Amino acid sequence: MADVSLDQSLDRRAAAVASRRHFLTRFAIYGLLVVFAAIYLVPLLVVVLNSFRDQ
Amino acid sequence: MSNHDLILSVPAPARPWRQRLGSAMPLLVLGPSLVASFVYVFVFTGWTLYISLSNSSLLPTYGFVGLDNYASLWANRRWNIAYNNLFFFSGFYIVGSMAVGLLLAILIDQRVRGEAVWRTIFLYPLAVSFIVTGTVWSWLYNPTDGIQAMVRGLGWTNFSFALASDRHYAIYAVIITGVWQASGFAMALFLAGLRSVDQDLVKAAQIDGASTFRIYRKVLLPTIAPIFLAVAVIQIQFAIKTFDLVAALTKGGPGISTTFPAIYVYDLMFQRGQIGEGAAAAIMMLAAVAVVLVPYSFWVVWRRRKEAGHG
Repeated sequence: MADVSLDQSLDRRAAAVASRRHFLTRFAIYGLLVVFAAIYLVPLLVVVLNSFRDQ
Repeated sequence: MSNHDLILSVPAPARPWRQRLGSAMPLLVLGPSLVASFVYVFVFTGWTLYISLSNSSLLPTYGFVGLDNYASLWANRRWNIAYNNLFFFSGFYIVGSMAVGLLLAILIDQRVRGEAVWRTIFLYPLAVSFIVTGTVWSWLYNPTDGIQAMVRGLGWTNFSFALASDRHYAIYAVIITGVWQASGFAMALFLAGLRSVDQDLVKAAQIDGASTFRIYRKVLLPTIAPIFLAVAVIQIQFAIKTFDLVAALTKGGPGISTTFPAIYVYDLMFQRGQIGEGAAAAIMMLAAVAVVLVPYSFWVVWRRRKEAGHG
């Protein structure tokens, strides 16, 4: 009985570690995508804002 | 005379003219384009080669002077700087755009949400002309109005980002802008390659306990190795023909620090009136492209024959 509860707690702990690792991985992926997207969109933003400037 | 001889001696009926016209139709439709392509590519290339061996200055003249224009070209310091800039720029441009493109492709390949939006964001620079890209990035590199002024206005008074104004770092400004424009193209090709890999290979590796990094390193990237070469060859062509990006971004300056062969050809032909030497420089650019494309073409043909032999 004690072995079963120990196994269950180890499984829960492993699942929590895996879940945290998955969250960190997804956070890193989306973070990098957002950073690169900002770098790619800044020139477009400059062009659009300049197009509204009064000459 | 036997029946067999009689059969053999009867001539075949003539094909109706409509049938003959139908079989010749592809050639008739493509013919004008083929002739025009031949003239505009090969005939004009031959004419440029002859002009490079002549004493032409403001207008074409046909006095043969041998390799004098080439000797004068390679003795010119500005041409040597331009050719060195080409190699320097090409190396960083190709490696940089492939590295960024591969990274973006791997990130998008991770089943992210809004994949179409991310692809559009990273691909739109390819739809923008080099002149517009160079002009916009020249605004960004401007020390008084660009990124440097903006960051200093936020409080970081020591921040410096005037790459295009410094003759030691202006070439890096051209490289960064070129990588920004071209990495989307590399990303599209790499993503298509990653998606075309047989998923059974990936599943087999996962069952064997391979990590994601190991799967990419040992299974996916080796499988898409031919795409690396194709991207590199295409990017090299863009790099060798770089003109409008540099013309809009730095105009070859400060001084001659970011002059490129295409800029020098334009300067010789249209501003200095030395079309003989300009034609020699253009032939040198053609030679640089041929050094890359001819071996690649032979390799593609050899690979296809090898695959056909194995298949």
